[in-house]
Amino acid sequence: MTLLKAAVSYIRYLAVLIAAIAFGIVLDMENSDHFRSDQRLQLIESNNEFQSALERAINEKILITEGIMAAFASRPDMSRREFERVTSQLIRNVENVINVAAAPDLVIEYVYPFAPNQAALGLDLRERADLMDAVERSIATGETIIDGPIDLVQGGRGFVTRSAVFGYYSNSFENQFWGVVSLVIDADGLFETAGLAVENLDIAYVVQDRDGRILSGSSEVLFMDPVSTSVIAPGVNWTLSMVPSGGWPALPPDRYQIWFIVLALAALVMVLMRVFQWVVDRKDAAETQLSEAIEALDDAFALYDKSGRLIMCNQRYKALYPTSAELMVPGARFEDILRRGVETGQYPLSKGREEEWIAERVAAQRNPGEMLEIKLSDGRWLRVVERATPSGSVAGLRVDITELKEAVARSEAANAAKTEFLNTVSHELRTPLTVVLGYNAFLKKPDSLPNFKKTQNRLAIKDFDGAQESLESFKADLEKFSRQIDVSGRQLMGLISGILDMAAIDEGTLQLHSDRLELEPIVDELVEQFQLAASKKGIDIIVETGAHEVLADPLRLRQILLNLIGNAVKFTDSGTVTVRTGSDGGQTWVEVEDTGCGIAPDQIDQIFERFVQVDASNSRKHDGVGLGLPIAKHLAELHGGTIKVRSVEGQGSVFRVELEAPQRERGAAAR
Amino acid sequence: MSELKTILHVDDDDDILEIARMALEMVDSFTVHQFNNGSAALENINALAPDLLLLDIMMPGMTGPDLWEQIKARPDCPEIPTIFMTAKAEDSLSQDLLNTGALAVITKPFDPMSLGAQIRSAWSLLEEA
Repeated sequence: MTLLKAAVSYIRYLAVLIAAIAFGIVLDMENSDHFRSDQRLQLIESNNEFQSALERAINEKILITEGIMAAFASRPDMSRREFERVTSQLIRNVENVINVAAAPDLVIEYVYPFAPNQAALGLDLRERADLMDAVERSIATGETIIDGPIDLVQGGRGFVTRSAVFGYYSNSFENQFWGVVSLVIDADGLFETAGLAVENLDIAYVVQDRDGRILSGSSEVLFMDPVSTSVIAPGVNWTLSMVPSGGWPALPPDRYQIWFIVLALAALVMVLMRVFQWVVDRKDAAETQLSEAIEALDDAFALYDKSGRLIMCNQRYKALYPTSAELMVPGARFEDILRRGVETGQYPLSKGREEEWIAERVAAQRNPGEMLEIKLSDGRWLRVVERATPSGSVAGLRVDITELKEAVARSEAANAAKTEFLNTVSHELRTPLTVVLGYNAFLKKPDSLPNFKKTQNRLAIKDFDGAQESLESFKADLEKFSRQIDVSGRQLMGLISGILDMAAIDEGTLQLHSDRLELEPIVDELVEQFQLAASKKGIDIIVETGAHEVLADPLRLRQILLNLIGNAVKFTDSGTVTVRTGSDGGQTWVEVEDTGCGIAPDQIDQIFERFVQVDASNSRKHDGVGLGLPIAKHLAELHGGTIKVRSVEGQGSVFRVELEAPQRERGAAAR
Repeated sequence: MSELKTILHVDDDDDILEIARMALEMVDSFTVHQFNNGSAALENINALAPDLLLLDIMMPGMTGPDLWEQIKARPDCPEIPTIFMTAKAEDSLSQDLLNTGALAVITKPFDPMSLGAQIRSAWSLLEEA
């Protein structure tokens, strides 16, 4: 999970980096395009400036030509001096004009400046085919033709203008050809005047004529995607092409800054993502730790907001309320969850007053502080502890106190049983004690008895027969008192012995002296003890014994059987009590069956528990402290045997003692 | 308050009935009517018109307090001062009986020679009231 999370995190960073690079590339391309466009625009502006300058320089020369032409048109026979004066005036302050010539009828007769050019005088242009082409085109078109550049005799290169001059001469109405005016222009000077062909120029250029011939500049410019404009002047149709000196810059100068900004932004975004991820991770870690801590609790936990809506709870909380657990999602209302629980019978204490119970519980949840104890339908008890947080939420713990409740109940039941036991013991001690002390009080003062007084009175009157009779009655009284004292004393002895036996059993100090015993005589002896009591109640004791032996302590065996037979007689008002013996496998058993009141099914498991009286009320029918059966059971178990019971309430019970048979008995049983 | 002469005594133990009868009749010369169960006492109480009831608390079927309640509930039966006898150790029931009008609660075993004096002492408290 952690690896996957880390991988996702790194993929995010990679995506940001890729996006930044893509953005940088687009931005770089846009910037480069913009830069190149800007460069081109600037060069176009420069190009236009150069073009204008060049056109101005050419036109300036054309104007000189036309001025001279105008002079000859008006004065065809102008003298050379006048020619020089006019020409010098026209070219004053004009650069790059090397010389001016005029050839009436195509024969050079005028030159300026005169001295360096006088050799040209008399030259018939018709004899120079190389010059006539431009002359003829000028004559044909009537326009100035610029020819060149040509290598000049005096050095350098120059352009030569040829302008045919027409005029109306000798009062003729016909426009007649006069001749040709020529200007020789310093080619390099012309381009320098236009700002081209100078040193330290930050552009590279080329000027071509209409035939593509290079007039100035470098032909390499043509292969460098130049900016081009046309230079148009009379007789001129050139192309001026330019590129930045050294060619177009490949990259805009701020490219690295842009990349730096883009990557810095990407880095900033990644840092912010890392910080955000750190915050989220911290928050997730805190939530995870809180959630784990809550799940680690032994108790159920739930947190509700101040409007009673669930924020979080642990699994134990859901497990406590299975029928409403499906509603326990964040945002669920406490009242809705509670109502579902009430509707599904989760809260038995709400039965019959559901709405009132819900209202009370919701009110308690909204005003937490008091500890509640709630019983669930599965029998569990919960202690509900709810506290308000400073923000108004309610944090609640549900502690399962079922064991505590059961322990308290057991403790209370045990205390109640002990109290009942003490009361019963008290009653069972004090009642025979009352008899003992009561009869004994009269024995101590026999003269208070009527028969004693009667005897005295009869002796006094010498009624000896009557005295003998009353003395016999007095003796019978004394015998009766003595007998009842004896019976009560035995009851007390039995009770005290029972208590001491139980104490010895608890301390483990009760010793058995087991021996091989014949069961039949013991059963007969014990039954005989109860015959009188049985006959008084009108019930029969039936004995069904055989020659069975048992390995037991004779005193304790008698105690066990005495208790069982005594109980059978005590709890049977009519019918029979049957005592039977037998052997089965390695065991010898004695059953005592009665037709008495029987034991209710829900009480049958309690009859062997000490301090627990099936009927310990003030209206109970039978006496005894309830120690007889527990002691009998313990004694049987000390012998390695057991006592079992089956009973039908209202019909009677069967108690069966199973004890270890001696070796011979086992063999007989096996046979 | 009239003189104490007749006592109706109910206890399920025959020996205790015998001892109490001897104590109250022979030692103190009361007229004592005895029953070993509450039902028989209820049947005869009006005819016997005792001055005092001496009731054992713990009896099978109908307890002494049950009998007392039934006697008090009978419209044809006058209110009769009642003393209970008990062999139990618990104080709470005795205190409840005293709080609800019992004259005294005598704890067994009692001394037959002073039982009449105990009863007269309780009766005298009634006269003082």
